[in-house]
Parts: sequence; structure tokens; C-alpha cells
Amino acid sequence: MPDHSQVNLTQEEIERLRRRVFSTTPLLARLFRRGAIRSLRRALRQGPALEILVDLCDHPDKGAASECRNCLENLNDEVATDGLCELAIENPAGRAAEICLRGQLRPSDHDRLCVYLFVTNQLDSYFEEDFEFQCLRREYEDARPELRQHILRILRSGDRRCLAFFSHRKLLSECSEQEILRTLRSFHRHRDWSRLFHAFQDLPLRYGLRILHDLARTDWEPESKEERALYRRVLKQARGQLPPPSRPSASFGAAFESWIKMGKNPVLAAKEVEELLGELVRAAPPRAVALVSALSDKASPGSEASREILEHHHWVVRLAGHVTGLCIDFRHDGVDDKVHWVPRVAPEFPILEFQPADATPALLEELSASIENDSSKTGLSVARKVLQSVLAHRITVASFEEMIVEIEPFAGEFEEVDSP
Amino acid sequence: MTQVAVDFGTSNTVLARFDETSGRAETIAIPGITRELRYRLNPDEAERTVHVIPTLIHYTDKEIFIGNQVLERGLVGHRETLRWLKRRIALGVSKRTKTALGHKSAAEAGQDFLRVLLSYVSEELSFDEDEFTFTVPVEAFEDFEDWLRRVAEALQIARVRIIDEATSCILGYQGAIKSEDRYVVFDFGCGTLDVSAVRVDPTIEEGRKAVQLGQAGRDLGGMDIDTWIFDDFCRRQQFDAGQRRKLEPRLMADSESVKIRLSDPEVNEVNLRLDDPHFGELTVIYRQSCESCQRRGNSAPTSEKGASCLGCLLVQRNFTREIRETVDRALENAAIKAGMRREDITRVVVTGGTSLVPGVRDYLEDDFEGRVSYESPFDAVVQGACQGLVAPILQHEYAIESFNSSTRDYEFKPLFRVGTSYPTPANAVRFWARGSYNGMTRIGIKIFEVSQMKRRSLEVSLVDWEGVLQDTSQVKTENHYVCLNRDNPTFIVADPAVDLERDHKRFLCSFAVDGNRRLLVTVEDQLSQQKILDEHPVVRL
Repeated sequence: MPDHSQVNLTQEEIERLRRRVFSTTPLLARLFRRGAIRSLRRALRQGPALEILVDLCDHPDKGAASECRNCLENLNDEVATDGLCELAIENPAGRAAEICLRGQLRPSDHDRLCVYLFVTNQLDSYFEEDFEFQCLRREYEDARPELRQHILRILRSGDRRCLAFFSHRKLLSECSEQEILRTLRSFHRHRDWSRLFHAFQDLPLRYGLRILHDLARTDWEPESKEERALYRRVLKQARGQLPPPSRPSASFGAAFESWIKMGKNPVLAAKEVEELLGELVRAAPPRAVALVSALSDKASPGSEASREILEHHHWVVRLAGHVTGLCIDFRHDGVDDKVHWVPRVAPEFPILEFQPADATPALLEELSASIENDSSKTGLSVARKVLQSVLAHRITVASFEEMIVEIEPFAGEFEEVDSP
Repeated sequence: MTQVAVDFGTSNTVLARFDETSGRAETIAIPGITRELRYRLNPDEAERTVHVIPTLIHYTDKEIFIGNQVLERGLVGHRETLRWLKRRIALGVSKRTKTALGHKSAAEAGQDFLRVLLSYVSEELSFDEDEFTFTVPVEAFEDFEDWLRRVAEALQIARVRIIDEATSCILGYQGAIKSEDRYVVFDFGCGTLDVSAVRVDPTIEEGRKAVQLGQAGRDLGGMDIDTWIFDDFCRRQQFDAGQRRKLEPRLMADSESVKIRLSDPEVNEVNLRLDDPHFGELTVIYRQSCESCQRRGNSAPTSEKGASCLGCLLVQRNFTREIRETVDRALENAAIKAGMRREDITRVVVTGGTSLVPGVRDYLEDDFEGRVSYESPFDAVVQGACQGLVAPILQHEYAIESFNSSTRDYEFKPLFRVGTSYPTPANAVRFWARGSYNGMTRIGIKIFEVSQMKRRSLEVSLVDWEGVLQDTSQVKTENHYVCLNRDNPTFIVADPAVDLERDHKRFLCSFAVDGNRRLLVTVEDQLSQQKILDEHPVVRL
């Protein structure tokens, strides 16, 4: 609850109060101290004032120390609590951390809460908030060296749960909706525009257009020439537009979800594309959906495999192709299928859900062709252009063909004659 | 890309990374996990420091402690602490030890140990880009190789190399190896002394290059010396069995410190002091050697309560004689098997901390005068593993990423085969690079290392009609492609931009490998008749 009695002190005023608090003037020191504490208690939202009160908790003047401790342990101002928790994060073995623990104080921001819980060794509470280390990892990467070392010490303390921190890191595109939004919020909070722009290049346009909208309001520009050119181009193309409201995909039901999940098992994952396609022809729908799910990790959208899925006789299989993002057709805004259910359940606007990392040159050409035939200026038309720019920047692969030296019609083979 | 070496040892594991500036491998310190060892080879030399990880693992229901964490918590002797893992894995011991996390075999505990250890350094090393070389004992190569590859796979280490310990140790001492040279590898660790006579076949592409000619081993190591000092101290204080048992954990650690300190040529005597409320303050002064053991090789054990001599203790226990007999046995085996004579030995390479104990080096110098290398007893193996190259041949296959416009999917075109000698000629491999869509302005050259993973298929073992078990599962080799220059690809700048119809044969790319194992590319633009890139280094293979 915000405390409206709080005031803002100048730096000089705080320094003056610090001198009074630690005054050693005989007889008057205690009086000075009490007065200064009263003033500092009205400036708790200011870090330096908080620091003085924390230092006072160890003062030989027991009355003053106890007053400060009580005041800090019972903080009810959000800003002041956040400030005190920051001091605890900075020095987890210090007095501020001890006060926070005793007063059960917590930061209001989720990312800082995770760091706070972790560095103060409240691991059970920490794992309730951030069991995959998504928040901690982000904060760790931006932390100063001492804090990183402290986090590493805890990670290496032997707790088995901490080992997962070191294992495979999820790419942003592999994260859940909630995790993506949290990450983007964190980039915003740290004003990390460079990483936000990279997130724009990696994420579907449902997020990407929103990121561009936010970046347009900053005066930031990428450092490298290529990225700067891309940035300027997409800002111009997006014209500050937000993505049109859309439904990502309807709920499919537990059975369909479980078939999709089956496609991720190691037996299917070990099979080659040709093997999976061969089996797809004669598989029953549940198995076929699993095969499509496995294919989505191996084949590229727009490839022969995706075409075969689009032409599959069973609508559930085609639906799986759309849901996994393997079958995408840039010519249409929505999903085009003869069965009524497929467009109703598949993502409403596939272009907004498309993962840029899945693109191929062939798909880029299809996208370019669809832009030439699209004269409208709707949100989706903007999305197409922005996506085209992103893909043209990302795709740098060439077709390599072995050079074969062709023998000319009158070419002969000459050999040196050995002298007798 | 950094070269990283992992020497999974019986008592200590060493982890090192190649430092380009010093041109040497530096052992990696992990606070809380590694143990710092300081040693000096000669009195006038500066102290050297290495970091080792005691190969120990202890399980609780919530925690896994490894290395120094186990020592610091006094859990070495705990029945749920697993040690001597390497030896048990090599011998194929399947006996399981009960732990808080269930029964664990040595192989499982070893895997956990390496998994936890390498996870802890994953912030400093890159499992995607760095090249990890694991060392494997010559005599148990296949089993260990298979086991280590599984550990690396579980950790998703992309670039894995395996080299035998003997070759690695020799490489650690001398940069190049000739096939006609004969070596004696003298490995004196905490628990065992292993002596092997080997020759190295540099033409073998990867894996076990050392050919064992003769070998002998003995259960004798630094731990025995610690026990002798402990026994001596207890005898002098006239402790009974119960008192010994009670004081053993403390005094064994102190005895080890005495041994380490007396291995420093500059230290002549060290106090072993017990300060206990029950026993009071008891001290024995241990001398490195005395006149009796030094001159005549006799032990003259004093009955003095407060003074003793390590040299005499070693003489009493026939320490040097045991070493000599082991070396002789290895050489006799080599003579019988390969006709190798003592004078054929090019070099004796020494590894293991116990080789620093007084008298060991003197014996080796006496027997193999001028042919002994002993400067890096703790890290010779990782020094060699970080270098890793015996002959200038490629140890992996390499490919380039390409787009197949007919299947509309990505594919890999082979670039260099495994075993290719380098440096290669300038135009070793030539490709036409074609843009993949109209208007393309940057063509990326992405190089991949192809690692082959052998997997047993999950299909079935059957019992045939005669009741004989038929294993119908097949070993399938899968190719794994690891991008070597994902963060720093080389681009061919297309100016004017690509026109697919016109540019069918526009960019001629010639690939070669230079003497430093760098992949070089030369690109000629046939349209502008210009060389866009000239022997441009793409990546180090």
C-alpha cells in the first residue's frame, strides 16, 4: 500500500541526516539520532535513506537500532520494500537480507522476486516461482560480477534441482506464451533494445509487430549496418501498426494433443523424413498425427513433405500440418481447407504464428509472390511485407553444386617423354 | 573455439582448457569443487599450481556432492560416498552401492560425477562450440570410449574427441611423436602404479593410437604412504586399535599433508601434530631422509617418540624395490611381446602425483639417465589432450549447408573426408555457389562438422525356436551436424544482387585447409571477373 506521508529529500539533506545519525556529540547524540531517524523514516523510498536505516540496525544505541529494525521489518510501502530487497540482493549475507527474511518482505517485480528468493537461499519458494530458471537466467546474464558469482556458488552447492540451470537453454521461440511475455517485459525494463530487436527477428509476428511498435517509440538503432538497414525498413513497413486481433488456435482436445506429443518420442525422432512419409500413407489418423508432429521437427515448411501432408486424404492429418506450422500457404490470409472444421480449429492467421527460423528460400519466394498479388493495405498485408524483410535478412543459404571440369572436344592428355 | 581436456582419473580428475596466450593448457578452478595442489620440482624453482577434482561423489536425498565438497564435509569415509570409480568401471564391476538416490553402479556414479562437474563449468565453456577431448586408459579403451561418449551425449557436448592416456601423456611432454619411437609411461597415482611400454601409431585417425607393448601394475600409491605415516605416528604414540580408529580420519588427512610437504625438495622436515582434548598435544617431526637411508639404503627406525624419517619408512616398506620390480616386469613383457630392449626406450614420461615422493625420481634418473620427463606430473595428460594431434590429418568429416531447390529443403554437401591430410592443395574442393532466391545480396558459407553416433536400435531381442537368445537389434550410425561458424559465418556479398536465371555459374568457391587446420575459401565472381574472397579463413576445423 503506498504511503503518502513519504517525502523526497535532497542528497545534501540525506548526508546531513547521516552525520546526525552517527553523531558522537556527548549528550546530544541520542537526541540528534532520534530526530534524524524520524526524518529518514519519511524518506524510505530513497535508497540512501534506507541504507542508513539498515546500518543503524547494528548501532550500539539499542533503542535506535530496535526502532530501525521494527520500522524496516514492517515496511508496507511497495517502493520502499523493493528498495530494501534490492539491498538484500546486493548483499545476501548482510543485514538488509536478514531484515527482509524476518519481515517476510518480497520484491513486487516477478523477475527480482526470483533473484531475491534464490540469492537469499529460499530455494523451495524460488522453485515455486521459476522452476525452469527462465527469470533467474535472464537476471543472471545482466547481473554484476559479484552477484553472478554468488548465484553460481548456490548453483554449485550440490542441490540437485539447481543442476537444471546448466542444461539446455530454451530458445525464446520454444518458450510458452507466459514466458515469452515475461522475457519481453524484462528486456523493456532493462531497456535492452538490442535483445528486443533480436526477439523480433526470432518470434512470430504476433509478438514481432508489437515489439516493433514499442521500438518505434525509442531513439535506438542497431549498431551493425545490415541490422540497421533491416530495422529502418521494417519500421517503415510496419508504420506503427499492431497485429490484427487473432485467435492463435482453438483448443484441440486431449486426444489430439497426446497424438502430437507422441511425435516427439525418441523412436519417431530417430526416423528419417522418407521413412516417416512412407509410413504416413498407410497410418491410421492418431499415428499419422504423431508422424506429422515428428516431421515438423525434420522437414521445412513448404517442402515436399509439407505438400504431401496438405494433400492427405484425412482432415485430422491436414489439421496437424497446420497446427505444427509445417503447412503454411502465404497466398491466403487464413487456412484454406475443404473440411469446415479445419479453418475453425487451426490458427486464424497463420502468417502471424509463423516461426521465422523455419523459413526456406522457397517459402520466401512464395511470400514475395503473394505480396506482388496483394494490393490491400490491411494489417496482414503489412505483416507479409515485414516478414519478407525479416526472412530476406535471415536466409543467406546458397545452393552449392560441385564443380565438374568438363573435357573440351579436342582436349588431349599429354605426358612427358622419358629421355633414353 | 577452445580446446578442453577431461582426464577422468582414479583419485583425481583434471579439467583443463588451452590458453592461446601462454600456449599451454591451464587447469580449471571451480570454487568449492576443485582442490589446489602446489608443488616444486627443484629447490630453486618457483612453485607450480594445478587444480584437480578429487574423484568422489556423495549422494543425499536432495543433494549431490562432488570433489572437494565431499572432502570439506568429511564424507570421504561415508558408506554412501563412491570412490575409485575409474578402476571399477575399467574392471566392469557391476556391484551397486546403496545411496540416498537408489543403488548406483560405478558407471552410473561416474556418469553423475562427470555430468555434475561439467555442468558446473558450462558457464565458462561452450558445449556447442568448444572441442572436448576425453582421455581413456589404453587397456580398457572400447568400454570407456562408449561410456564417455554417452556422458558427452547426455550433456549435449557437440564436439567430442577421444584419445588414449598414454599418447596424451607423451604428447603433453613432447609435441610430436614418431612411430619408430618407444616410450615408457610411468603413471604413479594415489592408489596404483601402472607402467607401460608403448609405441604410438600416428596414422590412426582417432581414438587409441598407443599400442601397448608391455605392461605391469601394482596396488601401490600415495594412499599407502599416507597409511605408513599414520601407522608410524600411532606406533610412536602407542595408540591401541580403538584410539587409532577414532583418530584415523583426522590423522590420515594430516599424514597426506606431511607427504605432500616432504615431496617439496626445499622442505627437510615437517611436524605432524595432534591437538586433542583427550590426548593432549602430540607431535612427531618427520624428516625427508636421514644419513642411513640416503647413503646406505638402510632403514634405521628410531625409537624416539617425537622424530621419524619418511625415507626410512619407504625403505622399510620396500618402496623403491617395488617400483623397480614393476618397471622391470613391464619391460620384460615388452621384450617378450615386441622384442623391445631397455636401450630402445626413447623417453620415460612420468605422470601422477606420487612420482613427486622423494626417491622416485632419483630411481628413474638412475635407471633411464637423461631420458626421463617428469615436469608435469599432474597435468601432462591434459596438456597432451588439449593438443590432441599426432599427425596432420582431419579427424572428422566436414560439410557445407546447401539448399536443394527441387526438394525445397536444406541438405549438407560433403567438403572434406575424415583422414584427409593437410595442408591441402589450394583448390582441394570446388563448388559453384548459387543464390537461393532472386534479389539475394549475402550468401552465407556455413560449415558443419559431421559426427557419427552409433546407436543400438530399440527393436527387439528374441528367443528363437531352440531357446537361443537372438539379438536382432541393429547398430545404426547417425550423422550429427554441428555448425562451426553459426555466430560468425562468412558471407559472399553479391553485387549486383542474385538473379537465379543469370547466375547459374557465377560464384566459384575453392576450399582448402592450411597447416593450422583453418578452412580457407577463395571466391571468384565470374560476372564481375573479380576475386571477392582470397584464401579467406572461414573456421578452424
